[in-house]
Amino acid sequence: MTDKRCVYQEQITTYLDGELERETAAQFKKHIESCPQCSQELKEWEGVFDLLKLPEEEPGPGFTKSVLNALHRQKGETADLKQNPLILHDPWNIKNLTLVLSAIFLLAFSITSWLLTGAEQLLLIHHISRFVGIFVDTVFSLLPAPLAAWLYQVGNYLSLFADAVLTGLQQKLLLLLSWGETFFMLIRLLPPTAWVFMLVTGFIACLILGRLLENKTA
Amino acid sequence: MSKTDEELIVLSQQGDETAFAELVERYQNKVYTLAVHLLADREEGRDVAQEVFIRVYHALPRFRTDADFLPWLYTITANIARDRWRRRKREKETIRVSLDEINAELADHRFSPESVLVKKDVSLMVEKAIASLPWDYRIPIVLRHSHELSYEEIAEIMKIPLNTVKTRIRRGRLLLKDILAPMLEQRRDS
Repeated sequence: MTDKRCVYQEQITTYLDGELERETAAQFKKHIESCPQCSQELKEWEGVFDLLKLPEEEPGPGFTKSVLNALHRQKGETADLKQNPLILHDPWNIKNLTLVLSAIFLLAFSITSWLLTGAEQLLLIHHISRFVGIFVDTVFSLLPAPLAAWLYQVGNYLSLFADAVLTGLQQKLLLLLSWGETFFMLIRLLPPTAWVFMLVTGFIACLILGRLLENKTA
Repeated sequence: MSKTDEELIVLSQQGDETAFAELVERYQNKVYTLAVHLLADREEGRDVAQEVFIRVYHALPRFRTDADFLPWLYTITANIARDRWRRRKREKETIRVSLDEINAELADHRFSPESVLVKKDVSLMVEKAIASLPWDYRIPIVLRHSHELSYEEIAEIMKIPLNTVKTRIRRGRLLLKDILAPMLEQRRDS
């Protein structure tokens, strides 16, 4: 026996796999009988192959039923979604919706209250609206007359519609606010910094509420 | 007379739940076994097997009945198991088993009064040894040895070239031979 690795050792696993050509396999078998090194190596590999033959496992009773039940559940959820796509299945949606609604309410409440307390129109808003007006007029003056006239008309309708919506909204808010006359007596006394403070704390409260809802529905 | 796979698949595609249930019954052991041997975890193996059949149910309408069903099942199982394994790795709950750990377990058994590993223990330790292999070696090794698939079938399932399959199996076996050496030695002694 020499220290040199026998060339046939490379073929041992291929032989055990049954992947050797018939002629090569016959030569290999003949060699094994005369080479103790390869014979030993073959025994070791046979042991490894034997260990790796793991038995078949069973998932246990009721597996098929559990698969079918899971499918039925999925089908039920899909049907719900199809029937009413607005159903809030996702906790993330519930959280976001809560946050957005609360933020809108807080903002509307604050601005309306601000205006009701008799504050003048903010200078910045005034300048922005002036700038937008000049910009729109310039763009329109560059357009062909019939198109500009048509756009004016559309814009007019849209602004009328927006006015109607805002007026309606304002009336609703006024109705809401009129219920708390005593409360507004106090509000009118508050400075703008107090409004900012209230807005921020309200928003933080919304965030906490959203997080709590997420935890409950997750 | 029991129906063929093709008949069951066609019926399942038409929405026949009984036919699909029969398909699940027929292949659940194979799918579950593959999942367990890849992940070395029975509970997770069951979850994977369930997910496989749910995915199969949804994908059946697109399945060509002239194609082989079992290799397709194996591909889906391997993909889902790989996703699970990656997720588990990300969550640092990996069951990566070190050589030392396996050897320590073997040593425990070796010096125990019985000094004989029962068959179930051997299987569990071999499963752990396989689970300690890199993922790319694990699938071909399991498919070749536990499921007795040919290299060509494994290449088809894994969608990789035949020579790559051979290389991965060879490297995986060499790693396993080292890992299982103490167990082999013990078997020889007993």
